[in-house]
Amino acid sequence: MSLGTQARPAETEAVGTSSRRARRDGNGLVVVRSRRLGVSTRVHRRSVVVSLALAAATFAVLCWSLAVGDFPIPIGDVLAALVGAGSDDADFIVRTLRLPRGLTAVLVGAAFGLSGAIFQRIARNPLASPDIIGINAGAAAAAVFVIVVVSGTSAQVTAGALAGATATALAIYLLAYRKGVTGYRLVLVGIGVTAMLSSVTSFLLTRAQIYDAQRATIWLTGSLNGRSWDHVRPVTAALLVLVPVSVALARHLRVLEVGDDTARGLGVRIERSRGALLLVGVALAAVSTASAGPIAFVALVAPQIARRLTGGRTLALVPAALCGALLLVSADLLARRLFAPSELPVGVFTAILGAPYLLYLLARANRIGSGG
Amino acid sequence: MAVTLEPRTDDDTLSPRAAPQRTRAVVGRGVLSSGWAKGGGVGVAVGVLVVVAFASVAYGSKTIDLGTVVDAFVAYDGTNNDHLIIRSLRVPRTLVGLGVGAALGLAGAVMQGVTRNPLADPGIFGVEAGAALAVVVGIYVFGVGSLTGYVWFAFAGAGVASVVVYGLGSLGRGGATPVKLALAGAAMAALLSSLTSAVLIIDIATLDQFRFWAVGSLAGRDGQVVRQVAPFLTVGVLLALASGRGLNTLALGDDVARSLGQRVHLARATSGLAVIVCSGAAVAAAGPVGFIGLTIPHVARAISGPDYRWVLPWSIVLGPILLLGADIVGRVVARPGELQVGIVTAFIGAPFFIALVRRRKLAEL
Amino acid sequence: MDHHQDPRGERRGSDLRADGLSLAYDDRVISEGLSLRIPDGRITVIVGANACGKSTLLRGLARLLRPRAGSVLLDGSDIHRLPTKEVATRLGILPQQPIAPEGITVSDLVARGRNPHQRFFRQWSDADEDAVERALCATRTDDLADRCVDELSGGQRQRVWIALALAQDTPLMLLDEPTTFLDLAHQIEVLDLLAELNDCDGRTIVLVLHDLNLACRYADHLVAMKDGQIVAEGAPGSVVTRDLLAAVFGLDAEVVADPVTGTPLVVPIPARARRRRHAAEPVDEPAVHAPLVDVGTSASNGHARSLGERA
Repeated sequence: MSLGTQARPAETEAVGTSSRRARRDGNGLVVVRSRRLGVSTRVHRRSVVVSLALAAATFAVLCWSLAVGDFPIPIGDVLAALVGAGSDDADFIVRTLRLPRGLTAVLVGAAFGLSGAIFQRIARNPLASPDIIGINAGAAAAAVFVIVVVSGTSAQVTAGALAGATATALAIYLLAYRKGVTGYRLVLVGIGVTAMLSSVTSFLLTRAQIYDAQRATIWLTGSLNGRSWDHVRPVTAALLVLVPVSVALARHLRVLEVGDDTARGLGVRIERSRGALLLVGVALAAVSTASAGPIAFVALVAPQIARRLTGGRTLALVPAALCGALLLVSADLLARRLFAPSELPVGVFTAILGAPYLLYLLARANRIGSGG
Repeated sequence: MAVTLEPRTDDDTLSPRAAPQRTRAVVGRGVLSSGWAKGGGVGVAVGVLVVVAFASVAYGSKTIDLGTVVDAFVAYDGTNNDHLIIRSLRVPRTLVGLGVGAALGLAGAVMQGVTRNPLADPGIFGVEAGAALAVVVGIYVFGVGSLTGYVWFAFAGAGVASVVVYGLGSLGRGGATPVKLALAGAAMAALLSSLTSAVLIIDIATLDQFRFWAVGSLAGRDGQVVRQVAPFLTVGVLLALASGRGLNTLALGDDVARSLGQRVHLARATSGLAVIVCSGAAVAAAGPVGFIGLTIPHVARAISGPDYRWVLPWSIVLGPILLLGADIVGRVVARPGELQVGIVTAFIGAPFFIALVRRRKLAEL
Repeated sequence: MDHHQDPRGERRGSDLRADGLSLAYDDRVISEGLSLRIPDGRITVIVGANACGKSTLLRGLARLLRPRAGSVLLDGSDIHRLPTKEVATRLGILPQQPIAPEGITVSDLVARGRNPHQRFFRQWSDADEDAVERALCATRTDDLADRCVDELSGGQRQRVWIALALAQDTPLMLLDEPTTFLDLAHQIEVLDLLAELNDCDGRTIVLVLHDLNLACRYADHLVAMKDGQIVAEGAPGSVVTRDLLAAVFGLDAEVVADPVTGTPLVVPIPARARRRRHAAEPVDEPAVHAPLVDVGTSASNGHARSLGERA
């Protein structure tokens, strides 16, 4: 049996499915290729279908949430208002009040979902989530500080949270650095730092004026109340940078999964790839937390749901992001309307929606993550 | 907060790839390796604990000189205010601190042993979240305002939550495996805490009351609280200590443990029960105090190695040392008021812990 | 940069040697001053007792472990200075007990082996598809292509990992104990496959094996290690002697000619027989003493049989 020669080029130029390719399709993979540009990639068919379905569902829920409210607006008018062709009232309500909030929900949910997927893949553990490194605690402490001590505006709180998250990430990295950083030491230092920051947050909560304490509690639960275009812009900017980077690094992630030694033998720079992926995950989580508060449960649950929907054979990064978006925008709709006219923070409903589904999957599942 | 990372991965670039680690031998790798050294070490630690306990009685928000402290025991005068403070406030408070610290340390150690995961947290069973929701419901619906009331509600909430988590984690194929339990616990904790937040946001008066309980404090824990939680704490501690030997065998992996004659499911169930009772009693008595359950076992392992027959006693002693020490600091630093122990514990403990993490390669399990 | 298979003899990028190599983990020094040249186009097998440093040497050669001193040279260039991807197109390693991600299919896993040849924009070219196809055929796992790796038997799984290494399409293949935990039939199957790859494609193969008899059968060049040092290297016939076995393995054994292949066959002397001998009891001469192929006898040692080269 000779393994020497390449396949004869003429055969592979053939249009249509060769028998070889037909057999490959049994695996559910579709090759997307442009010979002229020299570009090619492989995608998982089921993944694409699931992603499209999730995107459609997210769009539908978003439109629905734009339509309902104290001033209900019919769907047709909503779509008109989106392009600026509706009445002044509708335009204002949709584009200034509801759309930024809805978009924030979608974008933050996507960012959390993607961040969680990255963390779970790197850690090879279904329980890994971005708050493992303690970024959340830093953002929370800073945000509560701004609310309680400075009585800051919503934008100031967001900025403070972002600053807190970054400072915490840096501090943890520096503390864990000792001739290099190992994952285990990073996590342990993260636990210590998180505990200290939680203490600070608790202290502030007990010493604050009660109304400040309430405001802080709302932020800590995770809220999209009053989100404006000022919130949408930074999240969009962050996603525009981070999502392509994640996708680019995803192929390294695929190879990293087969084990460190094998991956190194296959030419992957392990520390660099993992470090870059971690950075992307942390950045996504930090930006999302700063915008909407610590709704990290989305980061835990969205990737798990996405994995089960896509059959567990792919990385499912994009489906995880879309799942997170759908979860958050649905939770926000419930938060706004379920107990109308009062509004509850969205963080309450992400768990109410997500947890039962996760438990259901747990009961049904045959294989969950590693170990067990 | 279920924070876990793959338990057996070592990300070191130059991680030694020894022979396949199907079993982990339980070998003393801690600072103290000989039996005498370990025994002596625990003895010294107990001595430190006694000193700290005394200090907890002697020092507090009000400055009372040592002579009066001694008199409160030797020549008790029921009309002397200071004597009253010492005997009816500080002594029970110290006792509660001892019990809660010991229970938390033990619960954490047993939890990490059962799940074979050094990042496991007793809160995984949803104990804290269940207790919090029950207390909030108690305040909001039943208008509970007293400490003893909190204790009962917290107990009930912790118990129900952990039973539900255990039940949910046992569904499906394979029964209650650590991963499924942890996932179920994380889901339940998130669900319960979001319900708690919902109530807190709806009713600001509830928030005002609850935020002081939620921090974790030993303030006002008097003789009645001691009587309420003492039986549960005792049962929990005894159960946990009894499961120590089983934990060593469990650490070798289910298959090896079974072939050594251990009934794995029974051992896990007993250990799980010990964790639930210990952490439930602790949270009922003092509110949710974090950090101890997660980090004390690491320190204990660093000192004594991974043999659970030593890790558990060390955890029992180190837990209260940290808790009472933090309580003393909290009372002394913020005179005449006090800084709740839940706040101070992490502040004091975390720097030590981080220094330890940097210094030593903490034994993984 | 697709790698083309040159005919045997004009193979590029397969000259591997270690020069004064010192390897250590943290503070534990495993080897010092190791020098070794891997013969091009041949099968080299590294043997030794447990914890003698053979896996460490392989990892050092495969660029998985940075040496404390000395260097590993691939075609004359220091392997640690070459770009990682380039090394990956010339040298492939299959480590001990590799981990397969959950739920992955065989063809998916083998496809990961194409990573060194892929770029961000060119993630799945025809060459990739062909290479995977060929790898699956060569390892006879093509009918398992859509199965989950977790469901396969040990032998099948090992063949799949070898297919991954094959798909990587490197002239040099390093394998760390690829036959551990396999039953004998599967061990032979895997080793026969590797021998075939060496025969047909001229790939240079370096193996760590713990089974000495199999090592003698398949090796062109045998390297015996003890305590981190190379004690002997050469053709199996000249390396495997009774004295070496005693020195390297602490094993009391006879060395006879394998009745099928003529390579050295190690026959350990069990404790009971040893005691009987020492007690000088009359013993039935074990049948194995009779050599079937006798190419010269060592005059000084009546028991030893020195054997010819592998046919």
